[in-house]
Amino acid sequence: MQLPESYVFFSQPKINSGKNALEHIYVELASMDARKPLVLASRQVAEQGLTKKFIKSLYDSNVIIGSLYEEVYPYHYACISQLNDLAELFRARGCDSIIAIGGGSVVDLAKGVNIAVSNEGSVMDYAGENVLRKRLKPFVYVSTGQCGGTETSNEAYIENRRFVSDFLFPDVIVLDNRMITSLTRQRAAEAAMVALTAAIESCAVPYNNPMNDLYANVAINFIYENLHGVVKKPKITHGNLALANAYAMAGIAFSNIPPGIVYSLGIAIARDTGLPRGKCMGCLLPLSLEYRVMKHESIRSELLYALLGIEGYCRVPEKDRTQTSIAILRQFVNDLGDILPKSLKDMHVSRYKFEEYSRMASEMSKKRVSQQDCMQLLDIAWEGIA
Amino acid sequence: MNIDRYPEIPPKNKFIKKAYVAIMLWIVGRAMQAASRVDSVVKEEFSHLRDNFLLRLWVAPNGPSMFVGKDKNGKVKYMGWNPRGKKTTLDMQIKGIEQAVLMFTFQESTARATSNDRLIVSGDLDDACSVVRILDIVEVFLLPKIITSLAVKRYPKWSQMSPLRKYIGRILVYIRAFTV
Amino acid sequence: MVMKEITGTSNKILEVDLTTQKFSVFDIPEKDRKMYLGGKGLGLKLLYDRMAVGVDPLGPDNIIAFMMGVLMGTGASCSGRFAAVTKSPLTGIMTSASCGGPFGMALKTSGWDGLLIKGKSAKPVYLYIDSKGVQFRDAKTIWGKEIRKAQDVVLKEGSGAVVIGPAGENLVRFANICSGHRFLGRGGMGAVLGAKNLKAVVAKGQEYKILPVKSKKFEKTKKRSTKYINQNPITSNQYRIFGTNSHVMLSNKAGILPVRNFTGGSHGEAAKVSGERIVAKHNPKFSTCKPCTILCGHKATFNGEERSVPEFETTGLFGPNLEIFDPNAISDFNEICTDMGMDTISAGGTIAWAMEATEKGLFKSDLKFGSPKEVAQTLTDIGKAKGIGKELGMGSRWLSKKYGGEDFAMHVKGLEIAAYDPRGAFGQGLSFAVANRGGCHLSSAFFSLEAYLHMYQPYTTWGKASYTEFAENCFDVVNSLHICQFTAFPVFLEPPIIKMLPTVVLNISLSTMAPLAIWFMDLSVWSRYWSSVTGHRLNMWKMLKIGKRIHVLERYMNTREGIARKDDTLPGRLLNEGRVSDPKHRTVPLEKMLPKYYKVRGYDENGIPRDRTLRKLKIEKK
Repeated sequence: MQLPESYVFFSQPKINSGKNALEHIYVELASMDARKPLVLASRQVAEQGLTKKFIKSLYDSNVIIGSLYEEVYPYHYACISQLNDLAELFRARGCDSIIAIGGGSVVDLAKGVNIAVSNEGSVMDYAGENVLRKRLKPFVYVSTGQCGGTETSNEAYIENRRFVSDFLFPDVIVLDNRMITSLTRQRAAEAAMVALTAAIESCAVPYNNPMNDLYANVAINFIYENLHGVVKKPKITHGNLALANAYAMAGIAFSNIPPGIVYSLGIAIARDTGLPRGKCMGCLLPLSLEYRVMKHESIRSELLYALLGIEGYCRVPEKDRTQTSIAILRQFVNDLGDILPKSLKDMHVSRYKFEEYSRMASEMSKKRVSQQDCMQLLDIAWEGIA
Repeated sequence: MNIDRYPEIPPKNKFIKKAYVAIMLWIVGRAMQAASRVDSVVKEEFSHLRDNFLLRLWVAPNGPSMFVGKDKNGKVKYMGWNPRGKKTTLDMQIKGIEQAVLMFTFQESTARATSNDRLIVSGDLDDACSVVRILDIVEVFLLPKIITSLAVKRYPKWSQMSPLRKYIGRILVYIRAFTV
Repeated sequence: MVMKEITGTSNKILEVDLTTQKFSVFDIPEKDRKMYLGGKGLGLKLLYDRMAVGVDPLGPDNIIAFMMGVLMGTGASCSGRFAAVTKSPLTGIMTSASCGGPFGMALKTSGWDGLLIKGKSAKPVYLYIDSKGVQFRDAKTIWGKEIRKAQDVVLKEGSGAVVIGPAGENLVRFANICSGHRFLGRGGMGAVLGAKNLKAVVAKGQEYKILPVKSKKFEKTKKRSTKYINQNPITSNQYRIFGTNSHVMLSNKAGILPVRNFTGGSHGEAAKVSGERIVAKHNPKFSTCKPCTILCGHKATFNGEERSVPEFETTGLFGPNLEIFDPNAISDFNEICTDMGMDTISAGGTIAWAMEATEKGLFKSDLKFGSPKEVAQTLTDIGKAKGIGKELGMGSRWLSKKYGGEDFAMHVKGLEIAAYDPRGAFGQGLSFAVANRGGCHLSSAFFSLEAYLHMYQPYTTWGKASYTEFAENCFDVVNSLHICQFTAFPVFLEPPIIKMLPTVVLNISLSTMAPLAIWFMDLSVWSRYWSSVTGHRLNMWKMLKIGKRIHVLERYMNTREGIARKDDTLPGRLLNEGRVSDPKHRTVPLEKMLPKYYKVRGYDENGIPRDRTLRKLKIEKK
C-alpha cells in the first residue's frame, strides 16, 4: 500500500458491537455528560418489540429516558413538522441527548432534531455542506439492520434537502444482536446494495486514502461473505450482525468522499420513481465498473483484495485483477436471483427521464460525475449489458 | 403536540440480578480473604501489593460492590460493601448489571470481559494484573473445572496446581469463607 | 342544409400525424367495439395497440385520443359528453378525462367517432375537421391567446372546438383543454397539445344525423332514464337548483371539507361559499352541456359580471382549502384558470402546498393562507410560466420532491386529490389510492355514499374494497358509452326495489353481498342505451365485465410504466395526522383495505394484474 501525497480522513463515531452492546449506552452517555436522552423509533421498530428491549437494557442505570417517541413516519425522509414537534418535546422534557433506533428516516429525523435543539433559527437554514458551526448534543445510533445509507455518515436528508457536516456523525453506534432484526430477502439485498455501493465508490477513487480503504474494504468483505447466507436464511444472527457492521463502516467511508456516480444516480431515480434505493444501485453498480473499464479508467486492485481476502487476491495475476473483481461482483449480484432487477427496463424506469436523472446526479455529486457519464451509464443500464 | 402522551421513563431495577451479583461478590470477597490465608501463591501475590491496598470491585452505577484490602496489620480482609470512609487504591468497575451477570454466570472470563470493554480499571496496572491472577486462583478453588474453565483465561495444569493443593485449598477456602 | 344519416355509429376514426401533416382513416374493428364499447374504453385500447411503453408524454410519440362514444349525437339524456385519453405529463401514466361542451357533437356530426393525434408540428397549427377529413391551418394569429379569445376565433369555422390556453402552450403540467364552457381537466392534456404545437381542433359539425339502430328500444330507454333523473332528488333538485356547490355544506357537516391544505374537515364560514348562498346572493341561471336533463351547470353574477359558477372542486380547493371564504374571489380564480386553461383542482392543490411550504420555510413565495390577492397573480404567473409560476406549474409532486413537504403535498401518483378529505370517508381514501389516473374522486365517487347518502359507515373498512371495484367498473362503462356520471345517482337509487328497501338492508347488502345488491339497481338502462344504438346485444352483466376489462387494461398499461403497490398510497398527512376538527384524530387505514382490493381485482400483492386475470378478461399481454 502506498502512502499518498496527502489525504484527509475523519470519523467521529465510537462503535460498540456484539453481545450486550446496548448496556454500554449509559456509560457512553455519562462520558458525554448526558443522562436524559430523547429516544426516537419508528412504528415498525415499536411493533417488533425492539423499544421494549431497549428500555430494559437501561434498567439499573442512572439514565432516565426523557421521552420515547415511536411514531416516526415510515417514509424515507424526515419532515419539518414532525421535527419541530420533537424539538419542542426535547426542550419541554429537559433532554440532553438523542438516541435513534431504526433506519434512515429515524436517523435523519434525529439528526434534524439535534440541529434544531443545538442551534438558533430554522433547521432548513443549515441545509447544505458544512454550514453547521457548533457541536451538537450527544447522539447515539442503535442499528436495527436497516440501511438507508446515511445513518452512520455525516449527512442527513431533511425535507429532501441534503445536510452535510462532520457534526452530524453519531457519537456512538451500537450494534447489538438483540436489536438487529431479520429483514425480508428483498429488503436485506436492497440494504446491502446501498452499503456496497457506498463502500466500493468510496475506495474506487483514483487516488487512495488508506483510512477510507480500511473501512471500505472491511465493509465490502463483510457484505460479500454474509449477504447470500442472510438472503437464504434471514434469521441468521451472526450474518445480520456482520452486515450491520458493514453498513456502519460503509457509512463512515462514504462520508469522506463526495457521492459517486452510482450512489447519486440511485438516489435520483429512487426519489423520482419511489423505487427502493438499493434496487436502483444494485442494478447500476456492476455495470458502472464495466463502464469505467470501457472508458479505460483504472479500478484499484484493492477491490479484489476486499472481496477475496489475501489468499484469493494473491492467486490472481496482476493483469487480471480488475476483470476478475468485476466478474466476481457481477456474479455476486446475479446469484441473488430475481431479488434485484438486472436492467432499468425491468424496473420500468422511463427512458425519457434519463437527462433529468443525470442532471440531478451531477449536481448531487458536486460535478464529480459528469452528466455525460451518467447518461451513458443509464443507457447501458437500460438493457443491462455493458 | 401533546407532550403528555410521551412521558419520562425512569429506569426500573433488576432486583434478582442485583441480588445474585451481590451474593457472588460477597462470596468472592470472602473467598479472597480465605485464600490469602490458605494458599501460598495467593499469599505471595498479596504480599507484593502495597500496605494500604484496597480493591473495590463494583457494578456501576449503583450496583453491589465488594471491598478487599489489607488492614493495619497487613492482613488481607474482606471489608464489606459500603464505600463510606474507605480509600480505594484499585477500582475495578463493571459497567453495568448485565455485564456483571455475564461475568458471574461465567459466560465471560475476567480477561475476556476486559477486552470486551466491560470493565473499567483505575489504579496501578501491576496491582490490577495481580488481582486478576488472584481472582483466577480463587475461582479454581470455588468452582468445578467445567465452570472454571469458562471463567478463567487458562485453567492451571497439574504442574501449576496439583490436585492435592486444589482440593485441600477448596475445602479450606469454603470453610473459612462461610464460617469465620 | 340536408343532413346525411348515420345509423348506429360511423365506426370511423381519424388518425392525424402532425409531424408529416397527414391524416388517415381507419375503421374500429367490431371486436374492439364490442369489447370496449367506445369512449374511454376504446380510446385506451387504441393507444394500447399503437403506443410504445415509456414514451415521453410531451414528446411526439405520445398519442392523444378524443373519443365520442356511441351515444353522442343520439339525443340520449345527458349524453353530450366525450372522452380523451393520453399519457399524462403530470403523472407519467395514462390519464383520461370526460368533457361536455360542443366539440363532441361537432366531431360526431361531422361523421367521426374519434380522433387520434400524434407527432409534433414544426409550427403552431390548428386542425379543421369536416366530413372530408382534416386540414392543417396556421395558428400564428391565435397562438398565445387566452382560451375564450382563441375559441371565439376558431368557432367561426365550426360548431365545436377544443382549444388550449397559454398554460398548455407553456407546458404547465396541469394545463387543460376547453370545449365551450367545459374542460378536459385532469392530467395536463393541455400540455400534451401544447407540446405538439397544436392550439385547437375545430369540427364543422351538423353534417350528419345520428340515429339508433333500434329506435323503439332507444326511446323506451330514454324515457325510463329521464324518469329516473327527474325522480331522483339529487339530479332533479339538488344539482338542478344549487349545482355541485351543494356539496359544500354536505361536506362541511360530514367533516370532509378540505380546510387549510387538508388540516381540517370543517369550518364555521363554509356557508359563505355554499350553493345555497350562491343561489341567494348571485342570481344563477342554467348553463349546461347539450343535451342535458340534469342541468347542473349555472352562470351567475360575480364582481358585477356574468360568469360560470365555479364547480364544487374549484370552490373547495380555492376556498376553504386556502382559507378563503369570498365567492367573488373564488370566481376570479376560476376565471383566470379558464382563460389560462388550467385544471382548478391541481392548481388549488399546488397553491395550498406552496402556502404551507412558505409558512414552513421550505419555499419562497408571497402566498399566505386566507389572502386572495397573491393567489390571483400567482395563477396568472403559472399560466404564463413566469417567476415562481414556472415551477408551480410542474405540480405539487415535483415541487415537494425538490423542496420538501412531501407529507403535505396532497396528490396521489402526481395528480392532486379532489376536495374530499378521506379521513372522514375511508372508502374514498381507498378510492383515491387505487384510482388509475391518480387522485381522482370520480373513479368510484365513494364519498357520496359514505358522507352524503349514509349508505356506508364512513369510519369502517368493511365492504369498501368490493364496492370500490364495482363502482370503478361502472364508471368506466359510463365513460365509455359515453354518458354523464351524474346519471349514476338515479340509476343506482331510483329502481323500485332500491326505493322500497329499508336503508339498513341496503347498506348491509352493499357491504357484504355486492353482486346481490347490483341486481337491485337498474344498470340495464346503460346497456340498453348502448345496444339500442349499435344494434349489438349487451346485458348488464356483460357490460360490467367490459367495465372491469377497461379498468384492468388501464391498470396494466400503468404497471408497464412502473406503477405498483408503492404508488397506491395517500399523502402522509392523510395516513399519519388526524383532522384538527376530529377529536379522535382518525387517519385512513389504507393497509387494511388495499390487500382486499387487490384480491377482488385479481392483482398480485404488488398490485400487478395477474396473468390469469388478463386472460379471463381477454387482454392480450404486450
